[in-house]
Amino acid sequence: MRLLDRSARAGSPLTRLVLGRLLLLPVLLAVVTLVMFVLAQQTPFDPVLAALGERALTMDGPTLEAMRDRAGDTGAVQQWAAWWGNALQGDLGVSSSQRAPVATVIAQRLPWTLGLMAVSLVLAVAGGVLVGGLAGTRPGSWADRVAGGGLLSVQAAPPFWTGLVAVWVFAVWLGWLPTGGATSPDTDAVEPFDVLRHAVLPVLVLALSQLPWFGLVVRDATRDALAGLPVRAGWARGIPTSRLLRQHAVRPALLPLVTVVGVRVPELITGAVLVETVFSWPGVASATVDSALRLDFSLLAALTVLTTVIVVLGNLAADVAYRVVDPRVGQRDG
Amino acid sequence: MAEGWREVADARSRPWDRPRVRATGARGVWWGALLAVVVVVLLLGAGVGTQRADFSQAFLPPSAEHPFGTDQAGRDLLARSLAGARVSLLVGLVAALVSSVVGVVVGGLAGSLASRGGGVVDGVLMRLVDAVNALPHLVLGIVIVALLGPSLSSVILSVALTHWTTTARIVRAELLALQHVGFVEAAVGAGAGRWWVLSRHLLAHVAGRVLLATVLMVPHAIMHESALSFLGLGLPDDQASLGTIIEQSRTAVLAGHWWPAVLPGLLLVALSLAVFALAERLRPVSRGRA
Amino acid sequence: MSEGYAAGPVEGLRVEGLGVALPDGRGGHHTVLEQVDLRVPRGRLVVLLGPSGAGKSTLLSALLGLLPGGSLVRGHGWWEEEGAGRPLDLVDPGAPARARVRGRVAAWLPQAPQGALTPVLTVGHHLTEKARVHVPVSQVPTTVGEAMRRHDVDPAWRRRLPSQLSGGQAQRVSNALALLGDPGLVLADEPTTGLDRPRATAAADGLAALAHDEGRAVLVVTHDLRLAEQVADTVVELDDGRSTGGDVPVPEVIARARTATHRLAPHATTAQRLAVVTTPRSADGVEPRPQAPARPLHPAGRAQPRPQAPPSQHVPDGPGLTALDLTLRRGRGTLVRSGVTLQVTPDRTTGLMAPSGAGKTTLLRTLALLHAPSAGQVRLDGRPVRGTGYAVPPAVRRRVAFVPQDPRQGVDPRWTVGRSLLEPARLAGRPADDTTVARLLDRVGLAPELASRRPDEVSGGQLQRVVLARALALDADYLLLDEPTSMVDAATARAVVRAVHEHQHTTGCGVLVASHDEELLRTWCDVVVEW
Repeated sequence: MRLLDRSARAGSPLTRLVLGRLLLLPVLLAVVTLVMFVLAQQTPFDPVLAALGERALTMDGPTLEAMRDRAGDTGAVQQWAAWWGNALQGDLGVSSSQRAPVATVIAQRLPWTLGLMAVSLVLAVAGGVLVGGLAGTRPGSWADRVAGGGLLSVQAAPPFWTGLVAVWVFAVWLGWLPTGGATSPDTDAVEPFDVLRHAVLPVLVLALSQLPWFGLVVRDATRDALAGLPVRAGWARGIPTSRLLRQHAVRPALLPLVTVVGVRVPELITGAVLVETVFSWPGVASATVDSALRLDFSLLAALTVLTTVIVVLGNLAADVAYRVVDPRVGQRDG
Repeated sequence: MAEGWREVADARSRPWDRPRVRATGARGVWWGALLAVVVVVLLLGAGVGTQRADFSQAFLPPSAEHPFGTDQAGRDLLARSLAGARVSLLVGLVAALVSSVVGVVVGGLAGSLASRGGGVVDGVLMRLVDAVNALPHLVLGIVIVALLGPSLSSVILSVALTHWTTTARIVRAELLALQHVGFVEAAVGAGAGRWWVLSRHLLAHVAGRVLLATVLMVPHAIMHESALSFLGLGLPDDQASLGTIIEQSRTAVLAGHWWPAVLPGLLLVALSLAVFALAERLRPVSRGRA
Repeated sequence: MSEGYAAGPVEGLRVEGLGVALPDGRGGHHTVLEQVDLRVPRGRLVVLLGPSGAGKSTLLSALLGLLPGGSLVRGHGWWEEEGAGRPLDLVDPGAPARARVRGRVAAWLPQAPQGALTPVLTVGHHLTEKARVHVPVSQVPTTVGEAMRRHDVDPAWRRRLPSQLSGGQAQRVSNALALLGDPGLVLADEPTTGLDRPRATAAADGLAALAHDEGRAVLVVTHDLRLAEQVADTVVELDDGRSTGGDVPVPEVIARARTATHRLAPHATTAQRLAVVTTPRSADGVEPRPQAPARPLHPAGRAQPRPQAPPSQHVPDGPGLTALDLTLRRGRGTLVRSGVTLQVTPDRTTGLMAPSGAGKTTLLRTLALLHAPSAGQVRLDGRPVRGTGYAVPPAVRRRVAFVPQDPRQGVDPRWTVGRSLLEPARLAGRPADDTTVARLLDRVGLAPELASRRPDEVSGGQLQRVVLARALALDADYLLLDEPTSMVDAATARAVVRAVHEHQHTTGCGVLVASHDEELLRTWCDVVVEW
């Protein structure tokens, strides 16, 4: 009876959650881009180019200048509307810094960023669980102190600095790995082993920058679980200590991690921006910095929209996963 | 203890009963405060005049004369790093203060309206918090600085505009939670009005939390600023922060000169850790325990 | 070691001169158990009776090896088994012996079975895990199946998480888990907490069967006199860290305990009016509970049962604080109870008896004008009160005083005790100074020096009385007490009851006491309403 009741109701809050977020997303995107277009009026940025879409690619200088003069009078809101009109038809405009349609730039660069982020995330979570679990199951021990201090220090180290140190040690001093890029300059083809060699440092540095957070979350949750009644009850039942620690202390601590992963997407993107810049990784994150430095409004606008979408979807995935994994959420108190 | 007491032989082998990490007492607070004062005085007192360029002295490794070595223009890196740390700390403090003010206003408004018919305002403000949180702060910061042009004020603005949400959430949650705490209900039951409860009970509690959140935000703000500066979107060379100095060392690292990158970075880590440590010492104080 | 082992070998548990001192967190120790002696032979059920905070759970922890690190012990808890050679000290067996006996000798039935299961592991996982410890891998499935059958665990629950079990289901799972591997000693901690009478009876019978039918040694610690009366072969009382009464017949110990509690009662004569009203639950959508028949309780010392108040909820319009057909919801809308009607009458003490979780606190907060009912009315002297909290005029709010269960949150942690006690007078615009504070503290039996301390510098029992003193300072017409004695020792409980009684005597206020403690209500209140 209880089970039946639950499954009947389970759909509705979840659906409401998903629908709510998906409805919020366009509003958020509209507001963010509108603010960008309005602010850009007073700056050296050229939103007109963005509003023109890919037509700008086929125009010569004087025509463009004329268009710019005419468009300059139309105001930010019209430009914004024109940009969205084009964007919804797949035309994201021309990137002035990359000299190519924005859509092409993103299509080429996005896989590099997603790959970097995905592998780093997996490594960071695995490492965080390992370190946090080890420290959390031995509260107050030297392992706990070392792990705690180490995690805090790593967290306090900016990823761009860790990256530079890694470049100096492994690329310059030891000469084991390349200093940057994703492929060797002398080859045009993308060879898996070559990419792997180039990816080692960026992936490890990004993973290291995200690891402390997961580690500290797991450590605290493990400590809490360890102090709770279930562990004592398990001990009194005669469960061997190592199993007790793994199953009854660390495992409950992994549940909060599920939400944490999704919530960390913005931090992961922040880390990716810095790591891609340090290692000249050809992803979208370093392109964001490029577009900002080189006054490339079309690209910056498109990348901001892309980032927002990724983050919102990441948060949503985390919330959904949490509800699916933990049946307790959303049942207590309605 | 009287006769016959003993400790159970295997008592210390329980997995949950290892020695607890000792809570820091009142003395810890003073050590933390002292540490912070030393850091600030050191940074404010560091000389700026020693940053003379002398290209014949470029890239000298660390020595007794130049403990941090010299940079590409032959400037002493220790003096330059201390000056940079001062800029970083200043930006961090101001940005943390500004975002706390914004956070207290938004959170206070939302929290005090949520319980009395102002649910709509609360809802809108909290969606705004969600929206700002939904954006990666660095990307948002990049956009803000890119649009406003790199300068000290736009960096501070970019940090403040992205970091106020934490404080807003804390203040709102605290106000809502305190509404049903025993001593507030007791005051209400004894006939207290909103102003009485706010001025005599709530303010002191929220203030402690806000202070802690503000201090904790300083390292975040420093990180944010140094990241922007590292990306070339932060402070110009004459106002160099630690991020700027590390950015300028990138090519030097490739040439094997490690010190212009490593040592200022260590100073940055130390600065963040010192502020973290101060915040840890403040934590019990913020909960009303000396 | 074997010097203490003088008496002839009786199979079972023999606790001798056991003392336990727990670390107080400041480097010292406070003694919880002074001297406990008791015997639990196999096949017998022994009840250890004592008020909350008497150290009953500490005794179980000591026998299970669950004392916190840094605790000190003395004496022994011998476990004797036929053919096992020397008896084994469960309290301090030494590390190698502990590894051998952990989970094999003693089964622990914790007070809250649901909270003792690991939330992310299924029922099946828990059972299999323990079976692996006790039997060879090949026998694990049959052992688990057998345990589930014996304790009425539905095979469908195997895949459920603890949070997906009801309280009763969790209880059965917990029993199956604890008794898997056939331990000879069963240690049950407050097995009837949170259960209504029929379920409590069933739980007690289950424990009795473990002793009488299965031949285990069963030790039950509780403050529930009825449970002791119902199933105990022997009752041992625990007071002030010492055990007494192991060799006295059960009825005698029970009677003595009852009289001792009775001393709490401020006015045995007014108990003439004692009656019990059982409110039927007009539940819509609520899991139906087995309903105890309305019946009078038998106050000690009187043979005649009281005439029963009519369960029809007739509410007079006269003076009183009245709940009229309330529907109570908690937090985000969970239905707690509907159709609640109850009156607190001036100069009388009304008791509300209900197991924990039944919604006592929600009702009291509603009556204290702090929580809005989702239907129904709160009436003050016949006139409905509109709104809650700030919306109610201050003068009306002051007429009802509420003492919450947990005193720790009851006073501002930043304020001194004195300042907290002055707040009601200040708010009412009455003159008040240090002598007012001293008088208030004196009324609840506390020293005036306490006024300058902060809440974290006084004990929980003292704080409970401070919170009460502040409520008394309101001079309210109605005083609502939520489980006033559940978190304090016997002495504090007596002081609380005395202070409330004296206050009622001078002011004629109406008092409502909500508690799950039947004995307390029976001896204190004029009318007891049972949920």
